[in-house]
Amino acid sequence: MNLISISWKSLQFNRLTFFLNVLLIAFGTGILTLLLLGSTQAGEKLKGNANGIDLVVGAKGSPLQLILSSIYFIDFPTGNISLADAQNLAKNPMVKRAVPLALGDNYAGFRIVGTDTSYVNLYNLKLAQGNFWKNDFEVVIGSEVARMKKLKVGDKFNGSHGLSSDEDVHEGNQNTITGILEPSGNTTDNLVLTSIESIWKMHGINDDHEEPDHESKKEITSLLIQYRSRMSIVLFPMMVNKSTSMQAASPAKESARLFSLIGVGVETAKWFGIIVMLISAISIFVTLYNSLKERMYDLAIMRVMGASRLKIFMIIILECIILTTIGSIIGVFFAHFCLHLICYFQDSPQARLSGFYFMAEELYFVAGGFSIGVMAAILPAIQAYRSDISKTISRG
Amino acid sequence: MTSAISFRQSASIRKLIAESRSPTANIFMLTTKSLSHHYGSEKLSFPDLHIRKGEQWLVLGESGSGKTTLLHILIGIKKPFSGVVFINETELYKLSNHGLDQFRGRNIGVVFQQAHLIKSLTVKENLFLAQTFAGFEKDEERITEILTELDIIQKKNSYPSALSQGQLQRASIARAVLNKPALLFADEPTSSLDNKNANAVINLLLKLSDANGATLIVSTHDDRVKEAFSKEYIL
Repeated sequence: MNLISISWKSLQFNRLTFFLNVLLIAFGTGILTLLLLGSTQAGEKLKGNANGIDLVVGAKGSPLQLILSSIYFIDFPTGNISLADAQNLAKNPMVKRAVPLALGDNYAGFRIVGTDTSYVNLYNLKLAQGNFWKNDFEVVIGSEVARMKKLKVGDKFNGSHGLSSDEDVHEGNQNTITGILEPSGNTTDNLVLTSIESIWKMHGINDDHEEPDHESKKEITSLLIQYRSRMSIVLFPMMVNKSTSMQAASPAKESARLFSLIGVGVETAKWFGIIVMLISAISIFVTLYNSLKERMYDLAIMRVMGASRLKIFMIIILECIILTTIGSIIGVFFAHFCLHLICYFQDSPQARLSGFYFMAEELYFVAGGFSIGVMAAILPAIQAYRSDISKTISRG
Repeated sequence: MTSAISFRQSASIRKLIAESRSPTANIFMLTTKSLSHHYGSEKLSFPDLHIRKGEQWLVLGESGSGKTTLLHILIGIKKPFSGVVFINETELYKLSNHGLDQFRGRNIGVVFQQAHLIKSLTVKENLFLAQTFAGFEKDEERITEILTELDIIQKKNSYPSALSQGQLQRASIARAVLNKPALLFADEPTSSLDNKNANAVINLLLKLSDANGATLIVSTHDDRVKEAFSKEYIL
């Protein structure tokens, strides 16, 4: 019978106390792990999706909303901009690449994005199956769309008006899937890509040159801009905002602003998690300290049987380490489970996080639980180490 | 073996140690010289003991006479104010702390007034613990043998809370004799028992110490057990 099994048996003897203390530790670790996983994944998604995009130009309104709707596809667009204005801007010598986006429809919550090959090049998208769209109402779908909706090349579906609901279905024109993208780990996995013309036609704007005002009717939602040179960072947005009816929003600036807004909540939750961890350490200390009074005779009997002071010390320390390590491991796994559950019921598939995302930093929480165990046990263990066997046995 | 414990040795004590290491010393299992202890201003002095291997002794005395203090000194859990304790040829309080713990686990068995087993462990596990702390290999056969002998084998997987007072006392005796100690001590083993049970416990201790070749020292104020012993110290 080794020291670990003696400590384990002692923990099992007081099951309710053991369970409550494990729960406290698991709760604290779980909150911290959830925050770590959530904020890291969100940060990666923000960074990964905005990679290569220096500026987004769209209708005037909230710049954050423009960024969220045009890069991350998780908010409503600020409005539309005229195609002619957008084309003029794209011809500016400071612009290396301009990617047009036309939003407005969805399929089962997955956004249908009208664009051209420049979007494919921007994200370096590759096909897993089929071909890119050539004609109107031909679409290429992201890997997650195909997986979730069990779609394959050649399938047809009707899009719905709006960005999340499937109530207002476009009955007239069916979209045909011509290709499925390879998984890329960004928002494109959750998109349905098609030509801008398809979006216009879906909404009754025909590319009819005989119609006198057909060009003026043509609008897009936004333009993703890549600068030719870093020198344009200051000048170009200023020019757009001052001399056009459009607004320019910088993804880097707006992401940082978004993070600072979310950061307040994340910071609060982090401190809440830390306080829960401290409370659990105090709870374990108090439990152990109180139970030690009852267990002193047990420990004295062990000494009479030949146990050294160090063994008695280790039995107490091990009890706490086992308890807090189990608690923190459960907490880490519980955080993954909760994150997965939250993501499962999440409305917006574009911003979906994953519970199957593991980080080396999670081991720090397990190590933290281990350290809390040692800290909570050290005083009671020293008390047990120093106890006078003769006095304890005489007191009975 | 070097000792971590150090205390002043007067010339007389050094003489006593030298005497106890004389060629006749090894015929005694337990020898004490000039043992004393004090609680505040109250000083307790104990008679010198010379107990041979396999002998069965009774240490008698009223409450407060120092029986428990003497027993705690003899089992190595209370360092005396003065004097020496030899078990065989080992001077007990010259051993290091760790050495003393090991020596106690391997050579001394103790039955206390309260039959106390570790509550979170079964009877069998309590006995495993005695083997573990003494540094012996786990010997389930020996445990079965001793529990059968004490007629509590049917309780080997029970927790102490499921045992009667008599069964608890027998389990604690089993634990004390499990490692076949050279010295078996019992502190007031009959004080809370009726005549029948007191008799049974004393007979058991005598029988087990005989069977294992252990020297038995029972400390008590209970006159009922006097007849069972031919040798006694009175404090």
